[in-house]
Amino acid sequence: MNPVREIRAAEPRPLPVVILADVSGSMSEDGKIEALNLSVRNLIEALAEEQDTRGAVHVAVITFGMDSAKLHVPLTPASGLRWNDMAAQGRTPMGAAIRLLRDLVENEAAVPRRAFTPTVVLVSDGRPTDDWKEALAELQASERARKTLRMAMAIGADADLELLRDFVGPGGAPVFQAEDAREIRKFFRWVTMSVAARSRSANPNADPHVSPDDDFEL
Amino acid sequence: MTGAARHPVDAEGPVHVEGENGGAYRLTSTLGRGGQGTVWEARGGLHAVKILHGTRDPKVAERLRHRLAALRRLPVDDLSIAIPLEALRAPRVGYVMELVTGMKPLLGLLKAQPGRSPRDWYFESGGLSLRLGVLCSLAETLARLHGRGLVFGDLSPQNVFAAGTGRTHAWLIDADNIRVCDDPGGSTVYTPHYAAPETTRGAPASFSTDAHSLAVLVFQTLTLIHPLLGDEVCDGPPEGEDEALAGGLPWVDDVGDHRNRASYGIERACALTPRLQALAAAAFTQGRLEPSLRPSAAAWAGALRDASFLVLRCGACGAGFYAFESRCPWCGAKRPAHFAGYLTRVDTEASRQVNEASGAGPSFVLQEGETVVLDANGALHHSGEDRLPLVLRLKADRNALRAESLDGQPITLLDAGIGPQTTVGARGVVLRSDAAPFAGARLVLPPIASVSAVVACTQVPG
Repeated sequence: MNPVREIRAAEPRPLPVVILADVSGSMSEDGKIEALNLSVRNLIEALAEEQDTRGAVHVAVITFGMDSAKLHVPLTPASGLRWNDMAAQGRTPMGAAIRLLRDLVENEAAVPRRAFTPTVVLVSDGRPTDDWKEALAELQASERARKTLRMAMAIGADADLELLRDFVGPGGAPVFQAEDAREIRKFFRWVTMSVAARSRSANPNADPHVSPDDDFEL
Repeated sequence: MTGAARHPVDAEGPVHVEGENGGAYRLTSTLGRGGQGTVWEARGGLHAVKILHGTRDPKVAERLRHRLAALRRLPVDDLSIAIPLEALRAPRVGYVMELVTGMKPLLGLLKAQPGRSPRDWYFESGGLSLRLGVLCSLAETLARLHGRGLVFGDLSPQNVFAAGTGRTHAWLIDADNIRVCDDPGGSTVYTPHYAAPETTRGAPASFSTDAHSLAVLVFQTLTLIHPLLGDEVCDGPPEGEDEALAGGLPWVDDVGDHRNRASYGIERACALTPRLQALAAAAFTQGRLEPSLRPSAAAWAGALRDASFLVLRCGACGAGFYAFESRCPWCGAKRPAHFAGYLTRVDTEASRQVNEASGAGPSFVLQEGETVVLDANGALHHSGEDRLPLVLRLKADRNALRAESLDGQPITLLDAGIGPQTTVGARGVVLRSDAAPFAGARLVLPPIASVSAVVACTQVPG
């Protein structure tokens, strides 16, 4: 037997956070995409600091703009994630983004069995330009994806509130309505606090029921 | 330990809070987060501020104020516990406590840093010696608290703080959960992974629930695995943890039942002395579901203290390891030269040994430059501790062992084969053998009620 001992440390359980970000052309107006980039960057930094022996927050970002949805950042531990800003351009292929989400969450190589239930965050300022109904139905019928804890933000008056409510589902948190860049940041503070509350809770797989009006300053 | 100082989550600049008695505090970084609240370091490093999560409820604030007032009446101000100084001014709910500068949560000693070799991290964060010292200090504080009929309630890696360098010391924060043992009106706050199985079922905090949390902290800090979470549980879905933490599975090192085996962590014999292994087995085999059978905080303190005198520093790689290994378990180099002391107590009138010799192993080891001191009762202390009265100092010095009487009383040296002296006085005696290494040189301390502490010293070549 080799007399020299090695140490194998158990990996903390992943707590996945998947952000679906609308990067269509309209997001480039009124500082929306800048606020979104800053907010996601802050969320990653704050959740990387979440100290616990049980779990570690992993973050993925799916963008939808131009003519397709893309995995802007694959699921990566927040503590090791190097963020590159998103650029806004083109159409709103939200259905494609929802399909990508489903594929990601159903894939055991990406979200292992040992992971906590993912938190999914959908952000949009407009109406989808592709077939989203079928994509959403597929999501709601999927074994693992339908169990995700979902949150959504509608930015401005053109967002499709009904769709976002459908996405979140009847048991989920209310859709957050943002009028400006400041409120985009407030939404992401809410998301951050909700995920942080999950990671500290006795049962991280349950909805922590943090309200957007709670005191997030601390 | 983790992380650079950061500002409060997404706050636009630093945050100020005020205490009810007028103290003003600027929060600089997070020290720890628990289920109840977040603890911040205040600028200057002398204070910490605990702010309860998501509440501005005046009723919660009022209850907390009562708790703090009750706490100030408890006899704990001489223990290493951060005593609350003042409640925060409304609408914030929380309190200010004293802080010892430079201390970090114990979490930094039991959770490997992501992206780093666990082995490098383990040694750079203090290795075996620092961990034993911090845990011993923690167990002693808890034992003294229990001795006063009080329980801590929510022991976790977030509210035990440890000195990162220098003298090893543990400090407890979150004192607002301290209460009388088995107080049924106590809060049910607990930290998953560290709570006793009965705590998750609503049992009040007790000596036994504290003892479980302590046992988990000791085992996990030294071996880097949770005693109830083996491979199957760690690699399975999160729901599987609940059953294991509630005691529904054997512990990871159960002798007969291997369902919860763990391949992670440090090999037990490298991390725990036989006595620490026995305490862990008692805590997690019988004690897992039968709280009264768990080893007490005092038992842990004694075993951790004893273990701390048995660590050698590898001459090749610098790692600390127990002297009962013949080679460094981390690099394979030969054990360094040292002196070993075997401590017994002898009734000089009846001519018999009072205590059992502790197996075959020594009571302490000394490497070049190291010192150990004995008090009048024959208890060992590391040098630099201000415990009195001390009677004997032993120092490994230039390939010899130097013995000194500290209280002026002559100490009898029973094996004169290593030198002409037969007593050790204040000027000291150098135990040295020019031929073969010496063995069994006995130092007999002046008797107390006819019982003498006897130290048999042996030179162990490298």
